[in-house]
Amino acid sequence: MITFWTATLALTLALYVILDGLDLGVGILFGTTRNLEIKRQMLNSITPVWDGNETWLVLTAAILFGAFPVVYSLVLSAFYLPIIILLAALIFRGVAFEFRGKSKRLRWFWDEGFSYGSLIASFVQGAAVGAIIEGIPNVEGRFTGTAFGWLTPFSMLCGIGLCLGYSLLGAARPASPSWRQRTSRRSWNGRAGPPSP
Amino acid sequence: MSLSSQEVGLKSFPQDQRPPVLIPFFAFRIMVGCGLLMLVLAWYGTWLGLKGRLRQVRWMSWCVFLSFPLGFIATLTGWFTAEVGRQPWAVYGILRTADALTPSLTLHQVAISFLIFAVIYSVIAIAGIVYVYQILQAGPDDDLVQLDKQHPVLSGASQGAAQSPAETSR
Repeated sequence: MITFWTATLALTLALYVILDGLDLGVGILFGTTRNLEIKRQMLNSITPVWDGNETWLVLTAAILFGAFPVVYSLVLSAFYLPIIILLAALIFRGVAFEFRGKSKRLRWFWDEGFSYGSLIASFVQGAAVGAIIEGIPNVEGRFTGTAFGWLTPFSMLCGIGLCLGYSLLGAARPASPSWRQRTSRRSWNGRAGPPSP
Repeated sequence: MSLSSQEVGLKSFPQDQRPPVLIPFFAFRIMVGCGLLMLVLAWYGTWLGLKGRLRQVRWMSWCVFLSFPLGFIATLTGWFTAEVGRQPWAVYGILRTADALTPSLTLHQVAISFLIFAVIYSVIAIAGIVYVYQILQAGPDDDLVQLDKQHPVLSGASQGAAQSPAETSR
């Protein structure tokens, strides 16, 4: 049973990193251009898939909660503040998809929220992994560290590393006009699958 | 089960196991009220539509226009009902909310995280309401205009269509 849940956890985590890493990477790169047309193409290339990709994080947390409650309680206690920051970043990132098209004067605000939200979410995820590698101080599964114990030079390096890794994934996302057309909501529903070259 | 069986109520539980009553009491009634209002609007609107008068009854259009927050209000008050109503338990019968506090958590951390979420949700809620309002003000888009042509009865446009021959004959 433990093997099964460990394997499932590994699978969901890997899927999350690969799939939502791509979205977050596109989000990070989104902030590097001022060209509105390119921004639109970048956003459109992930609009049909980003929320599905992000759901793997929910499944990962649910497996931790149900199958590994001690780890869940330890991780949530140790990473209380970073998880709050992560959620805040993901909220701003998510609403940008819905709001930026409806807004005229405030579009810059949602755009900044999208790119900084992606950047901060990526950094926090990487930093958390770094802190876990370094070890979480605990006594019999009860967290004994401090609120900012997760923020060390090594964990920050891991955070920066994950931002770069996600950016690389995002940069690999094809965003040519033909791809853009095929990934628009309408055609995505009509026929799934990658476009012919 | 019998006609004289007693309903299990608040007083069946000891004082220290009762939730605060005021919030769930009103939240639940507001939620149900919103639901009933939406049902009335939907049924009356359907009835008007079948009679082909949906576009003519202006106060009805205003009611529908102003009713857009009802669903959100119902969701939130329903949430209040569930979350306040389950107190003082985090896990019913096993873990009280007071005992469920993470030992390492400080008041500062909780206050800061609460503040962060309050600010974010306020900003997004205000922006969302403004955008919904703008969409409503802009009026129906082309899809609905198309619907008028395909289903004139449902959309209430048949009245106009039925009138036009009479008007031309006059």
